[in-house]
Amino acid sequence: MSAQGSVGCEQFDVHADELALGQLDEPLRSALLAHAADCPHCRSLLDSLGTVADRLLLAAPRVEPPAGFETRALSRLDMGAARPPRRSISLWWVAAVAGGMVLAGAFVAARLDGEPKAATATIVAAAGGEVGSVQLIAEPTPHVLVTITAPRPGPATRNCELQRPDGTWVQVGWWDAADVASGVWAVGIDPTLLDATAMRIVSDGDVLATAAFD
Amino acid sequence: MMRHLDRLSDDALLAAVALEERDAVAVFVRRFQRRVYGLAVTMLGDAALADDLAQVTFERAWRHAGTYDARRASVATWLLTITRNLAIDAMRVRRAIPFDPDLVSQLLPHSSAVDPQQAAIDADQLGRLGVELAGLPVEQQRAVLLATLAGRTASEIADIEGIPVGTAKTRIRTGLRRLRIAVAEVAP
Repeated sequence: MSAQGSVGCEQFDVHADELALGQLDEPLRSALLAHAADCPHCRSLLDSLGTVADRLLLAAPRVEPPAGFETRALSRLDMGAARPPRRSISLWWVAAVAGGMVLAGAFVAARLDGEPKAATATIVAAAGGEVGSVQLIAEPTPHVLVTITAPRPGPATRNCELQRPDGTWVQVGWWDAADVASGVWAVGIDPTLLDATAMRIVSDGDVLATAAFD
Repeated sequence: MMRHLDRLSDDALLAAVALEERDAVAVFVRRFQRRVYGLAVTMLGDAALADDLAQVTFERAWRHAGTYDARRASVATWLLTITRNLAIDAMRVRRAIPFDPDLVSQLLPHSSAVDPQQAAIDADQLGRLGVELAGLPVEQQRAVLLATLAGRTASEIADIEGIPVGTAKTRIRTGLRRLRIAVAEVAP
């Protein structure tokens, strides 16, 4: 344990509950957070108390909002300012499970069970060996879902390309290996690409892996 | 389309929201509005203010859907945390929110002997945490729930319960720290 500024572990412990509940004002709040940043013991205490406080919110009473709430909420989104710009491609996490690539893949497969799937294929590394799977999914919006269960070392940036029935390849997105710690990556695609015959992962002109849809 | 969206898990539905699927946003609002509004009105005690805050919550969720991390919390917890933080900010600006004395009893875990159906829902939502919560002395349950679900400070809880501030702090502290152990064993 260590002390940071004017706050030590004993003082942190006194205020940790109020800090986790979001009830402390400045400057004490910042001083305690600065201490937690440097002290693993106090950071762990704060994390666990925060988790309790957050999860207890699930016990809140469920109350029907006033009539017309849904319409008002959706109108607010229509009128609101634009979302923050997304990355060059609409990269999003379907799920991320700490503890391993295989777990992540299984988790996502379970989560998406029941959604109409257009096609599924095994991803095979250029050097041989299965490295994961790819799915073309039509609902709720057309997207491609890549699950890497056996990651291979290589360049940081990976481009995902789909092959149309006429043989042409279309880049649909990219990811940085460092970002995809969960092993799961997905991107929205044009509906016409749901008929793709193959997928490949390319980096600097080299084909790292391929998958052929049945 | 909507029929398919209704069947999605919470995680998959939020992913669809992140993909800017318009119908998904409507389903998302419909699925969680009772929870979000329920927490907002519990904390604020004002229907109009809670209505507005719940709308802002969904706007925030829509804006930041892409940052949701399933490793840290369930979608419901993530959404309610947004609600709670907004409500705390609102309460700071608008202090002296009147307290409904019936609120405490509404917040307490439901007894399986008195209301088995609601007790089952509580158990499903909170898992081991709910069991531990129900096992706390009632005065600690009240203090913890007033602090978390109603957003009340130790000083306000002392006024509500008619106890010294130090006693209110002790009840919150003791209760939360017993619940820590349960959380460590419960997945998000």
